[in-house]
Amino acid sequence: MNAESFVFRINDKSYKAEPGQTILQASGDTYIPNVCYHEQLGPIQTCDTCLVEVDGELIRACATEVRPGMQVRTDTKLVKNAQEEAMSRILENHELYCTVCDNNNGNCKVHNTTEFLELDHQKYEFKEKPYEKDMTHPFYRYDPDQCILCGRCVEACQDLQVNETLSIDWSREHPRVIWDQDVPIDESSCVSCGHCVTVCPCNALMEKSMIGEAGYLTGTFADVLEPMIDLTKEVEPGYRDIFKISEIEASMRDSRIKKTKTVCTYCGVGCSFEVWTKGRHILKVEPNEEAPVNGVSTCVKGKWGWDFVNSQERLTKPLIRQGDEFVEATWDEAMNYIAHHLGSVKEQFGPDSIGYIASSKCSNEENFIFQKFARAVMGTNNVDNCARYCQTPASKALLRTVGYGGDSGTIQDIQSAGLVIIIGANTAESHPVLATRIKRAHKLHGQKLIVSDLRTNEMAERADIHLHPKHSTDLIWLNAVTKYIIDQGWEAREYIQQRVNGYDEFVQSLQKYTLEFAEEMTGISKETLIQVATMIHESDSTCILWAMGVTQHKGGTDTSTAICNLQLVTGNFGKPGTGAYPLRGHNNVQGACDFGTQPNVFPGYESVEDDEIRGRYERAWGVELPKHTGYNNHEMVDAIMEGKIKAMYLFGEDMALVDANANLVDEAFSKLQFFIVQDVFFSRTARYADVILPAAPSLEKDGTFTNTERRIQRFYQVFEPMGDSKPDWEIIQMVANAMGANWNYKHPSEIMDEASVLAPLFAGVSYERLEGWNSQVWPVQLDGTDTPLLYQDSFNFPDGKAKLFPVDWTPPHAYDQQYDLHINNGRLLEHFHEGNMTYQSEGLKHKAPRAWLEVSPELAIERGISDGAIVRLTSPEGSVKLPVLVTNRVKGNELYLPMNTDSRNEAINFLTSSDHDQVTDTPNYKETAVSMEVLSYDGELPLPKSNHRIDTQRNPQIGVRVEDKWNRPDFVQVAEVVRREEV
Amino acid sequence: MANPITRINRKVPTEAEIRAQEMERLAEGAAKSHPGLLMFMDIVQEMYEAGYLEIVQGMVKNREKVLPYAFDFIKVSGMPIVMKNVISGLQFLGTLEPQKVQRTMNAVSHGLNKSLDVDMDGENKGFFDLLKMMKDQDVNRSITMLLTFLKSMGQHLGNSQQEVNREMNQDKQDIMDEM
Repeated sequence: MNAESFVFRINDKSYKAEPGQTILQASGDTYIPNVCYHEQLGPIQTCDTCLVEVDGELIRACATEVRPGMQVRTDTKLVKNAQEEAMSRILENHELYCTVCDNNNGNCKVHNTTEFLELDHQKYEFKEKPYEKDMTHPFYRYDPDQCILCGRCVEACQDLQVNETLSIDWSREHPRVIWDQDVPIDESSCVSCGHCVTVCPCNALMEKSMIGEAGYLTGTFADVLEPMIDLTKEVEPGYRDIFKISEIEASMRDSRIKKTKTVCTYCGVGCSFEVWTKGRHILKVEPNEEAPVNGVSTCVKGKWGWDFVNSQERLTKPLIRQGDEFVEATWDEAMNYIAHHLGSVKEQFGPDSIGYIASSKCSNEENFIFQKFARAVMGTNNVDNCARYCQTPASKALLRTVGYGGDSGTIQDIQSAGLVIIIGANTAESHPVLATRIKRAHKLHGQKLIVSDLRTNEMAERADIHLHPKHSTDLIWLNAVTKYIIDQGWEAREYIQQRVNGYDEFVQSLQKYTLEFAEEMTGISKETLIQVATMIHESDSTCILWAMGVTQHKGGTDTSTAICNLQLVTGNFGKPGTGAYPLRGHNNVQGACDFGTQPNVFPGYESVEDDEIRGRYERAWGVELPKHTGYNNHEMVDAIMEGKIKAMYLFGEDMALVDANANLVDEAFSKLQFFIVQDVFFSRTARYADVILPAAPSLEKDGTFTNTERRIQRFYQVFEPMGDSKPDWEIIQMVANAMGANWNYKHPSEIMDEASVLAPLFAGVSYERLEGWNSQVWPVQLDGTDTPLLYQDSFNFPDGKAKLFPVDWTPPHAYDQQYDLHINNGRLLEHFHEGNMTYQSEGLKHKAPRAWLEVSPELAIERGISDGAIVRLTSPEGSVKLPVLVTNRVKGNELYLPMNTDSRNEAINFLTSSDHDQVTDTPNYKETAVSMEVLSYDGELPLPKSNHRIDTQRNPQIGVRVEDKWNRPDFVQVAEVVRREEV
Repeated sequence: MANPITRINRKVPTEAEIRAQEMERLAEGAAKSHPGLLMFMDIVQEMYEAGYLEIVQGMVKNREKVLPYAFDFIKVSGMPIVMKNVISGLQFLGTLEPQKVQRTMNAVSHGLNKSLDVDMDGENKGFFDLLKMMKDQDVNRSITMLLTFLKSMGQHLGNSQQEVNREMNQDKQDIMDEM
C-alpha cells in the first residue's frame, strides 16, 4: 500500500483511497450511480444521483473527497429516496422512449441509471419546454425537450475543448443550453469539435448521422414516431418492463452496428476513437476515455470528416495512360505494364535513375516495405517522404542537440508544464486536440503561455505574451533570450555541467545577440524579451512547441536548433513537463521518417552509409544494398530537370500541389519517362502519371501510425476497400513482386515484426502489445517497455550528454521592391491539406467552402478594398487570384493564405520559390513576398455566416455554474426534499 | 514526356453487364441456401394463394398513409386500455407466490368439489348449526383467510400509483428471491 493511501468504508466494506480522491473515484466495486459526472470532466454536481450518506448527512459522492476512516452508506432508505428524487427530477426533463431512440445503444447514461435505480414511474410529470429543436448545424442537433440540464456539454465546451461557446442559462423559467448569446448553433462560435455531443449522457445532443439510422424502429417508423412514443407511454407497464424491451432492441443493434477502433489521419496528434458503422454508412465517431492521447476529445475533422471514404470520385480501378486519356485496366495489366516500363528504365539508366516518394499519410508498415522495395528490390536510396516539406529541419535540430528526432515527451508533459511557448504554430487550428490541453491548463491550472506568431491566432489571443516578430527572425529573439538568461546567471548550471557539452563555445557564439540587436532586428521590445526570459526563469518547467512557422525558412534547421539550445541552457529536457515538441503535421510524418523512407537512413534513423548497419539489412534481405545516401525529394525534382532521374513511383502524396514552386514541379513531372502514382483520389500529381493505382484509405485497411509524441497506435479495418482499390502495402507488394521480389506478406503485422527485428528503436513493438487502445511510445525495448519521456537519464549520444550547437541567423529570401507584401500560409481548422478528403464533406464545405486571403484592416484601407474584394497576387514564380477577408488576425503588410485548396488559382505554391533550408532542403514556404493587384474592390464575403470566424462572440465562464442553479428561487436541495418527506 | 491529362475513360458497365453480374451473384446465393429457399417459396406460394400477400403488399406499399391510421385506430378503439389491462393482469399474476397460489387453488378445488356434493335438496342448516360450524378448524381457516384478504385489500386500496408500482415490483422481487 502506498504510504499516503488510507482506508475508509462503504457499507461495512473497507476500501483504499489516495489523498484527493473523491468517494466516487475510490468506490471500487460498489457502484454509486451518477449521471453528470465524467472522469475526464470531473464533478459537475448538477444531477444529484450520486448522493450518499455520511454521518447521517446526504453528500455528493462525485465532489466529496474521502477522509481517512470515513463511513459511507449507499444502502440506506435516505439514500434510496434521495437518488429517486434526483432521478425523478432528471426525468421531468427527459421523455423516455428508449425503444424508439437512436441513442439506445447500451451506453445511454440516463437509461442505464434510471434502470439501475429501479425507478418505475415519473414522480414529476414530463413537460415539454417552450423551445424548438435546433437542427441548424450540419452535423448535430440539440433537442431541449430531451435535455436533462446536466451541464456535461457546457463543461466540455468551456473547460475541455475551451471554445467557450455553450452555457446553460439558469435564469430563465425553463433553463436550457444556449450557444454564445443564444444564437442558432450554426451561427455561433462553435468550432464543431463534437465534445458536447460525445459527452451528452442522452439523446439531447446527437449526431445527425445517427438519427433514423441506429435503431430498428427509429428509421422504419420515423413518420409515426410521435404517435408511437405516445402509445408506448399510454400502455407502459412501468419503466422496468419497458427497459427490458428497449434492451432487447439495443442488443439487436449489436450485430448491425459495427464499432471499430481507428486512428485519425487529419494531423499528427494521433487521436484514436471508434467508428460506428452500418454497412458503409458512418453512424458516428465515438471517442473513448481510454484513448491514450485524446480521451473523449476530437476536432471537427476527426469527428465528422469521413464522408470522402464513400465518395464517387474515389479511384477504384488501375488506370493506364493511352494517348490523351487514362484507360481502366486490370491489376494484372497494370503490373505487367509497370514491370515492363519501370524495368526498362532501371536497365537502361541504372537504379539511381528512379525516385521514390513515400507518404506520411500512410502506415508505418507501408513506409517500411516501400523503402525496402526501393533499396532491396530496386537498388537505390532515392526515397523520401513529405516530412521534407515540413519537419525535417526540426528533426535535424533535435538530432544535433539531444539525439532523437522526435518530441521529447507526450501530451501529458505539455499539459502539466508550468510554461508553454508556441512558436510559428497555429495549434488551435492545426493540432486542435493538443491545443485543448494547453487551453485547459492555461484557463484552469495557471499554466503560462507565450506565443510567437505573425498572426493573432486563437492561441496568441489567449497568450500571456504574444510576440509578433518581423517575419523570419525567430532565431534572433530566441538567441537573445538565451543570452539574457545566461547573462543573468539564470542558466541551469549544475544540469549543464553534468549533462551538456559545448557550453563555453556556445556562450561565445551568442555574443552579438544582445537585447538591443534583437529589438532592432525583430521589432520586439527589450522589455518584452526580458519578460519572456523572466517567465522562463520563473517557471518550474517549460515546453516549447513549434511547427512550420519555424521550419519552412532558409534557416529552419538553425532556428529549431536555437529552440533546443534554449531548452538545454534552462535544463528543460528530461523532466516531466519539459522538452522540445515539433508538432507533426500529417498523421504519420513521424512514422514515415521512423520507418525509413528517407534517403540517408534505414528504419530507426540508422545511417545507410554505415557498413555494419547496412550489413544487418543485407543479411536479412539477402541482397547487396546501395551504399550512398540518395536524393531527397527536393533534389529529385532538380535531378529530373537535369535528366538524371527518368522515372518515379509516388504514393499518397500530391507533390504537384504541396511542393514549393508548383510550376517548376509541373515542368519536372512532364519530363519523366515513366511515372507511377498511387492514391485514393485523382490528384493533381496523378495528371502526370503513366499508371495510376487505386489505393484504400485508413478506414479500409489495418496498420499502425506513429503520432507526434512518437506513440505507435493500431488502426483496424472498418470497410472493405471500395471497388478494386487495395491497401497501399498490398499494392507495393504487387509492384515489388512484378519487379521480381517474391514477397508474401499476408498482414501488416508481419511487416511490423520484420521492422522490429531489424530496427533496435522498435525492438519490442508488436501488434499484440498494441491491441485495442494500447500504444507504445518509442524507443521500445525488447520486453515491451516504452519511453514516453526521453532523456531522463541520458541523451542519445555515446557519452550520454547533450550538445549545445551554436547557430547564426540566416536572412530570408530577398525579393525586389515591387513585391511589397509578405505572404504567410498555413492550415485551416476545417480542412486537411489540399482538401481532397475534407471538401468531400457537405458539412465541412458548408462551414468553410473555399480558401480566402486574409488582409489587415490597415492594408485594406490603404488599398481601398473591403471584404469580398478580388485580388491577384503575383510573385516572381507565379500568381493566384482570391477573394479577400479583412481581419485583424493579420497586421500591416502581412497577408495570410490558407493552404487548403486544390485550385490552380488559389494554391500558395504557385507563389512560393524553390529556395530552401540550407541544411535539409526544406522549402522556405514562409518567406514569400508578393505584389497585389486589385481586380474588384468589394464583393461577396468569402466565408458564410455559418463559419465560426464570422460575427461571433464567445461566452467564456468556468464550467456550468451550478451555483446559479442552486440559487434559483424555485430550487430546493434534494436532501431537503427527502428530509421533509420523511417527516 | 507526359502532358498533364485529366480525362479518364472509365469503363462504365452496360445495363446488361450489371444485370448479368447480379444474376450470377443471385444464383450463387440461391444455390448455397437452396433447401431453405425452396421451403420459403412454398410458404410464399401458399400465402399468395390465400390472398395474404396482397394484404401485406397493400399495407407495406401504402405504409405512409396506413401507419398513422393504424395508430389512430389503436387509440380510438381503446386498445391502449386493453393492452394496459392485459399487461396489468400479467403483472398481477407476477406478484403472486406460485407455491402458495398452488396450495390455495388446490384448497379451492377441493372445497368446490366437496360443496358440489352437498345435497341441495337436503335439510337446511339452522343458525346455530352454522355458528357451530365456525368452531370447526377448517371452516375457521377459510373464513380467516377471507377476512385477512379483505383487510389487506382495504389497506392498499388507498395507495398512490407510485406506491402501487413500488409494491408490485417489491413483491415480484421478494418472490423471485425466495424462489
